[in-house]
Amino acid sequence: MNDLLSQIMGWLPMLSRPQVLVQLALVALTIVGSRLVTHRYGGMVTSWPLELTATVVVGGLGCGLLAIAQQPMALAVLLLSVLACLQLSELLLRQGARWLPEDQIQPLRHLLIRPFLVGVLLWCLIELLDTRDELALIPLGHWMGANVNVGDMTRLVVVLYLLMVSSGPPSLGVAWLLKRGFALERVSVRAIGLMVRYAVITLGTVAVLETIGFNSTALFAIVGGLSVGLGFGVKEVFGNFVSGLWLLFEGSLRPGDIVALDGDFCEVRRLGLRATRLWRERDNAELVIPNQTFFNTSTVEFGVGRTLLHTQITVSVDPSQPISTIKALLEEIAAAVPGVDADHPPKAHMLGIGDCGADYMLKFWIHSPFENRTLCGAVFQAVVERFQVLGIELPNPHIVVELPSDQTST
Amino acid sequence: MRSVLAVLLLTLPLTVLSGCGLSSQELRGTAYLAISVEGDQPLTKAILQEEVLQAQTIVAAYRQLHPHVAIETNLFRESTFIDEVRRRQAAGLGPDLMLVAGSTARSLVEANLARSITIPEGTRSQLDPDSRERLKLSPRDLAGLPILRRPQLACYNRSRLATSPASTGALINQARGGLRVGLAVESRSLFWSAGPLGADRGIITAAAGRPLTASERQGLQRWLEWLSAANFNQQIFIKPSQESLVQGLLARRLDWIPCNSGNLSRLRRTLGVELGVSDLPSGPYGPPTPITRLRVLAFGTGSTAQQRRLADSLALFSLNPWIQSSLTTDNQDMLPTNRFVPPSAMDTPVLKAMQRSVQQADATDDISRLLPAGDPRDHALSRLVSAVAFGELTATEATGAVIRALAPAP
Repeated sequence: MNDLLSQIMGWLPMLSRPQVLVQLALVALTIVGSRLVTHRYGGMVTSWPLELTATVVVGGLGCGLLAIAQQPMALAVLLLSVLACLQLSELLLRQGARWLPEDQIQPLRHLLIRPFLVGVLLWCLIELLDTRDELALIPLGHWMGANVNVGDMTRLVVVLYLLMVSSGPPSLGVAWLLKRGFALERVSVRAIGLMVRYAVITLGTVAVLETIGFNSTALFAIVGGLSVGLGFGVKEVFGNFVSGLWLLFEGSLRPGDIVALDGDFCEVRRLGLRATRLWRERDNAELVIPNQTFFNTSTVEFGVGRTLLHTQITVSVDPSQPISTIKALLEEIAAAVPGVDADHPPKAHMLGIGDCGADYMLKFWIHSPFENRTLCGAVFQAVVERFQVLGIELPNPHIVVELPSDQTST
Repeated sequence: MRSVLAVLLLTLPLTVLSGCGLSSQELRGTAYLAISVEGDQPLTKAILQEEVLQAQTIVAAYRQLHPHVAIETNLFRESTFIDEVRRRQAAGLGPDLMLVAGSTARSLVEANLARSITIPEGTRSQLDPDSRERLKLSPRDLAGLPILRRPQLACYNRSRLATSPASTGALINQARGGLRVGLAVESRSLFWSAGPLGADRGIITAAAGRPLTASERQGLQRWLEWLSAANFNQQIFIKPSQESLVQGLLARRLDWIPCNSGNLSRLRRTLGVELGVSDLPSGPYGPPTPITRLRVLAFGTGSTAQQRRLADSLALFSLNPWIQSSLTTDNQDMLPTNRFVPPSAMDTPVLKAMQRSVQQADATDDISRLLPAGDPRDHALSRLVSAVAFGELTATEATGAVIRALAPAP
């Protein structure tokens, strides 16, 4: 590690040459100039087309002057190109935001474009300041039976990064083929894709470690130790992770499904490996529920496209009214309420004589669980209004206080 | 504002660093030394150490006199050396000093990537005349300062062979008797055998672009026939590179190889007293024609005044008889270029073999000049030699192809 640090420190005097400082100053001037232009003409929000244009114009003029003066400028061209690419990528991402959702734009920016540009810049700078082959031979240490050098470590990091970033779509492709090939109707493509992806990442990492020369016995010992550590230390996280995988694999919960949670209906927005993100209609809140919840408690669930809910209200009516008339009236009132499913006619049943009067249950179908509260209220309101018009009493529970006779006389 | 601050933070330490030492009279600072490596084999720690060994010795001795001086070394392939330097120079990051082959030093000066040097007559007279001649640009100017010579030798395992065969015929006979001989298809490793078989004149004429006489053509064909016949011998192993030969001898898979004196330290470390070193075998048509690698310090053009002073000082220091003598005697893997190294320092069997090899190499000076290290024709010749050695082409078919491949580009 000391060798690597001293090698990197050795680059600094090289950067102190006047012709290098002039190039760095040009790059700095371009950054400052483009920012000033953007703030002057673009307002408070960063205007990427304006900033890109300013970078190209100021940088181009500076490089032109250096070329006329026959001064070196490759370093400035490199840094300005990366800067322009960064600005161009932001511009394209802004355009892309019209078609792509924000949760896809962010990974594209932070996992693909920026790391790629940083990688290219580092690669080119190393090529200018040092020799890649020579730098790769600098030893970092002796780990797990292998002499690890900078080249090995770089290879490991790059392979891991590439596997993590690029294994997603091919894994989903393999998953789709597996699902089609083996008719796995109940299993989610995403679940198989995740399994394939983790398998690819694990195998890739092991393969790179093997080529570096890591002792496989030591590797297995570490994996074993980690498993015990995971079991004791972060078992909740691990439990949620396994639950997430299982939910995905089983296909019992999918984005778009509606579940009942503490009496509220919520829509599944995203099924993560640790937690599931739900949307609650009542207060427009997003809930992050650990996956284990769906394993440890029974859950009412409506699948995508299967949202017809059979709901009910109870009504107490004056017991002196004819039962068949009341039942017919209740069914008629409910059927007339907009939102109540017409294909499944409402049904009224008498439950018995209660404290207030004759108790009836009115059952009807609605199209979405999210409309349950609203429609139940609407049906109840329609019943009350109609009964008032018809003069049918809806008895309220009331308390009769009977005082003793001596108190009455006084 | 943040951009301005970032620029200040970036440039301030560099400016401070660049100012360091300017006020002091004592030499201090960092100079960058680029070292060329012949061959296309992957760079290994062993090759790296072998190539920087002499430079490290010189720098270590120099730092005893100037402890505030640091020398950063970078290794580049000889074949791409000029392109690498050009790319770095375009960014203002070119090396201050370059330890390269003599032909590369000349090419660097011709491409304005190195400055020629005018050395005082006193120093000039100290230089070995052959080396001086190879670098002469004008009566006063040299393309670089010759520092050391690495002759080609025969290296063998003394536990398998008491003395090296004196002739190519004896070498083949001993191979028939079980001696494992290694030859590389790299032309610069194989040229030694051209002289004993009478092909050296043909190669020089073809490389100069002149028509070959019948005897020269016959000599070239004889050489190729010898190579073809050599491969039919089960004990003669044709390898792709000089490095493969060294690895073979180190692993005791081979008993005799042509080697470069630069390989001796590495071979000695592994084989110890079992390593035998001798001059190469002669043949019925003349003595061997080994190639001596002249290592030259060339001077970069992008250095600051301080780095230039430092580079000049280090170059002159590396030429003084004391350091040349220590370099020669300590490792016994090179010959000095300073004529005033005391003869007593050269009085060992290994150094005597090297001196004989240098005398024999006078005949190949033309080859070195016409076919410099890293020349594309070198690769073409290696491919043809390989095709002959492995029986893809007959010697007769290959003779015309070799002549065409050696012809200089119009």
